[in-house]
Amino acid sequence: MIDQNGSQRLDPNTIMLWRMQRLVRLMVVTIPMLIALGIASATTIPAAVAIVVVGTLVAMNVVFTLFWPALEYNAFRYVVREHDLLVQHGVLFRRWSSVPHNRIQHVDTRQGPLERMFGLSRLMIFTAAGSLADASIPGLRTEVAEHLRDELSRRGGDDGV
Amino acid sequence: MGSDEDEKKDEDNPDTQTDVIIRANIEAELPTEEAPRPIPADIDDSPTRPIPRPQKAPVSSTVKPPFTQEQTLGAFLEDEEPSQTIGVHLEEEPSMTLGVHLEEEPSMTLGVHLEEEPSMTLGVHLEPVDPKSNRLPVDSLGSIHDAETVITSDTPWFGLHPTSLIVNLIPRAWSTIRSMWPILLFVVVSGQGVGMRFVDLLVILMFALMSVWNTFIHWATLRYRIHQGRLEIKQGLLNRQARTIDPERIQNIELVQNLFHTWSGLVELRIDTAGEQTTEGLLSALSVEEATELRAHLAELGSLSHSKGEDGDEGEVIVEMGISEILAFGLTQRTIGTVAVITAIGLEVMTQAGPEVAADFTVNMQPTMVIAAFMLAFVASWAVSALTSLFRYFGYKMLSLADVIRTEQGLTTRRRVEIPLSKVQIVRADEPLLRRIMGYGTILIETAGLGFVDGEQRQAEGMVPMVDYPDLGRVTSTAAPHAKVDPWTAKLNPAHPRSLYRSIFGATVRAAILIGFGMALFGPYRWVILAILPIAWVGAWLDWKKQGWLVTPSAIVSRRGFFNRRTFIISRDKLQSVHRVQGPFMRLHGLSQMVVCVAGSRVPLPETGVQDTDWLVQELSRAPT
Repeated sequence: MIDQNGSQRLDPNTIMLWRMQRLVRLMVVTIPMLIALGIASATTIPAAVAIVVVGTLVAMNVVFTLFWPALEYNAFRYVVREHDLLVQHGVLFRRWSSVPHNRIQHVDTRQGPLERMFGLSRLMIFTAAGSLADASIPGLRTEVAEHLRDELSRRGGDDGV
Repeated sequence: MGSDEDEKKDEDNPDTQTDVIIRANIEAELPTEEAPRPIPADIDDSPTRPIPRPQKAPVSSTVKPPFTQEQTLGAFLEDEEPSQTIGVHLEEEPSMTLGVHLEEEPSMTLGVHLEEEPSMTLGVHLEPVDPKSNRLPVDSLGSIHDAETVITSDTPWFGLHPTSLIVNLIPRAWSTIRSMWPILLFVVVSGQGVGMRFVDLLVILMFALMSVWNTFIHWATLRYRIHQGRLEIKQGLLNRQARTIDPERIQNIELVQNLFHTWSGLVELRIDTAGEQTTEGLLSALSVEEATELRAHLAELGSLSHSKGEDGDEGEVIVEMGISEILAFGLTQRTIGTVAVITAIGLEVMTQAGPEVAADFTVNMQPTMVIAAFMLAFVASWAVSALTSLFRYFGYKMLSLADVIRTEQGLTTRRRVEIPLSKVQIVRADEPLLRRIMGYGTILIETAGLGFVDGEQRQAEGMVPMVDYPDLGRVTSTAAPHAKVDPWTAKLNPAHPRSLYRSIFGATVRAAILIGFGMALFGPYRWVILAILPIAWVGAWLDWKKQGWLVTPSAIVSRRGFFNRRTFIISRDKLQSVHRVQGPFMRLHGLSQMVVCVAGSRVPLPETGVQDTDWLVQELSRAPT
């Protein structure tokens, strides 16, 4: 939907950031869980089968973790237009959002430990519509994120509530 | 209690009003008696001046020159000899009347200040005749004398009516019981019918005491006031809580009167703002006058228009409901789910009655009996729901005042909701199949203040239970005047033909899951369950057929559903954000779905093809004109 010329992309480091974030999650949560499952099911199915199944699942997860972020990065576009902010993302489930400036209630920048290592920040945009962020832009250079945050939160107007 | 020191709205309140007048009179008179005396003694050269002026002049002269003058007055009070000061003032200006008072009773000076220049000090807060402008003087307060600022910033607090102790007790006890029912259940069950043990009694006693204590604390600590154009509510003993509500942000006001309220002439006031969960302002027992006054005051300051009708007779009646309509609403409300629950409870009770009865029952259970049980449950559920609807909606009336919609309803518990038109986010029309056949629909009016009341989430703030089919458009356009659209006469755009595949696919999956369960549960008749499949397909087709959307320069309309047809009407100036969603299968079919968000809810449009979507994206993200 967003044309290629006018749009902005995320910082390229985001790919690496996402890979690392997901690898950490994989190591801490997914793989231990799969292994536990394998051990638990070893009593009902032959151990060899369990090992093969768990092994494939882990391998698939790792591959997925390494390749998916690049696709996601390619799919992500955003534009700050005169009266609204457009964000488009999603590899399989495409999502395009338009948030008018005057409807923005507040804008957050957030930064986890890994993001700090890369010097990146997440920008989250909230309207009166709900508790979840209506649009969020992960992986912006911290300066860019802060600049955007200040710019977006400054524009006032009727919030329609 | 709190109503005694009712100083907030001086204009309406006779007590303080007379108070002021009396004192003003004293001061008006005292100087005239005394001023003539000193003046001839001290000054000889200006004989014409003193007598007529002293009462009038001080008012204008103290108002015009700013506050430096008063400060000197204050200083005189403390530092210098009063008699001298008088002399000085006397000669310079007619404002000496103040000086005279200072000398006689220094404590009166404040009174003089307060009454003579209402526009500057107390009067600003106490009688905001023009509420919009009352913030300006507040700013200028900075330069005023310290003593005065202390007084002005201290608008008195009001409490609940003392009768609330009794009125609130029963609902409180009920809610305490409801919130702790598992413990109570445990107590009852563990009693085993041998009679209450001591511990059980103790637990129940504890509940009772807790309810009383809660009620008392609620009454004793809850205080509210309107201060600097905002409503402030504070409460709590250990967990103190203070809220400030901007009247401009009020989404709706609800006045509720249950039987106990009615008997004691009280009313409960609920104020919703756009917050997340609970009703933000809850004043559980005010006298009717207090509540009306507070409401009127809030209306002056904020989003509720200054509508004339306090007693509810003015304004145009949009909808009224007769008893037959109310009963019809109740009869069309319950679904299969309720019936299932009632049947289950019935069976459960039967097993509780005794094992041999249950065994008997299961042995003799015939399909006819099951059907009979279902019928019985149906009738019972219908009766109950007709009765509750009668209690809830008796005397239903919807009025349109200047900029406010007001609904009134209820047999024992009277409920009056007021919604400012400017706060209406969505108008939704529900037309379930049964009601549609009878020629009715239900209209729900949502603001951003959607929240929990008494532990259950409200569907919508304003509700019109039964509207004649031809009137649906009229009522919705009253509730959403900016939308300027009537979905019942306008032609809606249909959903994309290919979205039918998707909805049939979805229906098949859901039906398959149901069938799977049914196969596992039912015995010899299990193959009957397969009938769900064609029903689901027909349902999906009907559902798809009835979908529709419409985007005009002022409104968005989305309609879906056959068995429970829903039409959403959104005024475009309320739009918070617009999204376009496309899953992998939708992409395969060249479809996508627009989702529009307003404060409080999100409304999906039917699935649209590439062309329509492009147009929608363009149109909905275009700059507002």
